[in-house]
Amino acid sequence: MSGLLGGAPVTPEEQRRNNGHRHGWVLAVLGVLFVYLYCFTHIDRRLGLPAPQDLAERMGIRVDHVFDSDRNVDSEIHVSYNAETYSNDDERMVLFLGVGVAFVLVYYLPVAWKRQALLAVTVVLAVVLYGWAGIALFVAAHMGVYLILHPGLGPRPGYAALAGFLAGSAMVSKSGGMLAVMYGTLWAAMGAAFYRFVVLPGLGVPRLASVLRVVAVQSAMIVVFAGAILNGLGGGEWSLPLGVMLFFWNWERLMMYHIDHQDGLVPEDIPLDRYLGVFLSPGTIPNWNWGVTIGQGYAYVENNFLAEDKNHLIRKGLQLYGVALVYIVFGDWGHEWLVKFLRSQDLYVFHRVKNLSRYFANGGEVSTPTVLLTTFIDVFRWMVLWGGVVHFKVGTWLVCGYKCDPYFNRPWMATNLVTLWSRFTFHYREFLVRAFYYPAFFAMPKVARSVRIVLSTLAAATFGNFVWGHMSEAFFYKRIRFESLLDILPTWPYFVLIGVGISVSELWLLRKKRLRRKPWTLDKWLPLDVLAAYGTLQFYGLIHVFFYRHDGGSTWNDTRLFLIGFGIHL
Amino acid sequence: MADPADISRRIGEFFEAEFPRSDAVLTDTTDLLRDWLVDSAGIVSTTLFLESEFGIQMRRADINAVHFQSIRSLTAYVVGRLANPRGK
Repeated sequence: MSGLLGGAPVTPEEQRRNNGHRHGWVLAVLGVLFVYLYCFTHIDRRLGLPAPQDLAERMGIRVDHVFDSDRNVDSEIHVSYNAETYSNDDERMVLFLGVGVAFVLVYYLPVAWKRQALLAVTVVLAVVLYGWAGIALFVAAHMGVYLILHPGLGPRPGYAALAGFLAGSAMVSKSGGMLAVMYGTLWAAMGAAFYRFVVLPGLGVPRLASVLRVVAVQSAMIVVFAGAILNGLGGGEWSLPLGVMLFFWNWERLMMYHIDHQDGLVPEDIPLDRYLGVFLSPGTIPNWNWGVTIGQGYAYVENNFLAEDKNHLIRKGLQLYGVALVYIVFGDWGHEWLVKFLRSQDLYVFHRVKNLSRYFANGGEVSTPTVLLTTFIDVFRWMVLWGGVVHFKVGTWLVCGYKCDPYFNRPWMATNLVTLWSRFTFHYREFLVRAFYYPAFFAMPKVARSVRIVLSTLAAATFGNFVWGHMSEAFFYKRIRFESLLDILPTWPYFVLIGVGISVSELWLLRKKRLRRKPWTLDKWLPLDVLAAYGTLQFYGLIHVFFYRHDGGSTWNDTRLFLIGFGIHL
Repeated sequence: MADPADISRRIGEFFEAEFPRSDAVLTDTTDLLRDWLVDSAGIVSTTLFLESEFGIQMRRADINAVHFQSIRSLTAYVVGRLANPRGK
């Protein structure tokens, strides 16, 4: 767990030492990216190669749930929120080629230029994939945060003008170039004046400054909650422009950045490009809204760049790319195979927990094995799908020179819920711990340690996870409507149960005498590891009956389904 | 006046007892985050130990990779905190 607490700062000398070239690794990365291009895009047509499915069939391989209708491999890696300009396959082609260009540049450029190059390539890539207006608004929003967190004169009023220009021109970009320039110029002047004569004096008042900083960092939450409540009071429905949507998906990492800022870890005079580099890296582009906490805040990104020999990092990145490929190609196939196999053994399972919930809510009867197996294999389905995408994202951070911890680390090896949390969603867990656990933990030093631990865990795993983790996502996925809030509220038992489960595991870990024996050692205790891992995963799977619930169902119905998992039929 | 050698010994004993390892030797400079602690529960239990053993009060900002790097850095942190309980 090298990145626990974000890692220690790395010196420029260490970075230079870790920058030795080995061209073989470059070829290996480009080779693996070509495999991705071949499997998941239409590059076979451009190069006159057989399609992946044709090639597989020529080799006598015929499998279901691997290929899609255009005869290449079905993929969960995609470019989110953009279905206007390209097909998914075209977008992926741009993405993989862009990652390749970024990698070659970051590998061969001098250390001083590497991160600027990553930022530049990411911006170009984002412009190609999302359009100029989307990224202009995204960058303008981040510049606003930068100017509030790091106020001053010098170039900053100029940055305010640039942010105004980007925002103003992006908003009328569809009306033509000349109007966009005029509108942008007007906004640039207003932006610079507003910053110089309103924001800067406001930031000079300590209390107002801290309010402004919180508003900037929490803007996503403020907007979606205000919009939903106004909608509930009879107002219209707010829709977000693409650039704002992309910016809002950075809300958790913005909070991490703000925590680093409060802890004095961010230099006050940080240049704009270094700030933007925290949020714009090639690893953020694929599945923009998945694993959004990868990269965390400033300290993690800063302390982990070239913190290890870049060729070692590439080796780790290639391993993740390889595992991601297996998960993405065979995940669906494995899930379908499991369902068919269990059904052939007269064990009825549903494909998804949602289907099970719907069937039960409509009066169907289900057995304990059905509940346990369905919830268990649905966790497997989601883990493989999720693991494939986040491995690709972390792999991209690694090959680009960041010593980034895997987001997903064989969660089926977890023998308790604390370890599962860490193995399943490492960076998200770090967000919840830093943003909610530690503040609660250090706010009550005088209470009994078990109470302190339980309340801190509930603050993170239940409250933070529910409100900041999932409630806001519900608005982004289901639109900013009051109904979205009503849809997510009944899932509260899931968050309470996971918080209670993790609390109990933590207390047990703290009280039991730690053993020299590591889990999964080949000895007589191995069956206990298997049992503990099964119990952990099964509990985690089972509580999803409260999360993937039937829309018309009730909490009582979900509870009955949950209890059937324990053999209790009410 | 706190004795750094004594603080270091007590912290070392805590790690040996709470996070025993048969495959590695713990020294003053062992990288705790990379080679010894396994999870955030370990950070929490170390925090609780430091607070109760040395009577210091830790703050969120103190939970960072610089302080938790090694027994040596944790000792320096505890010595500093004992000398200046309210300081930054």
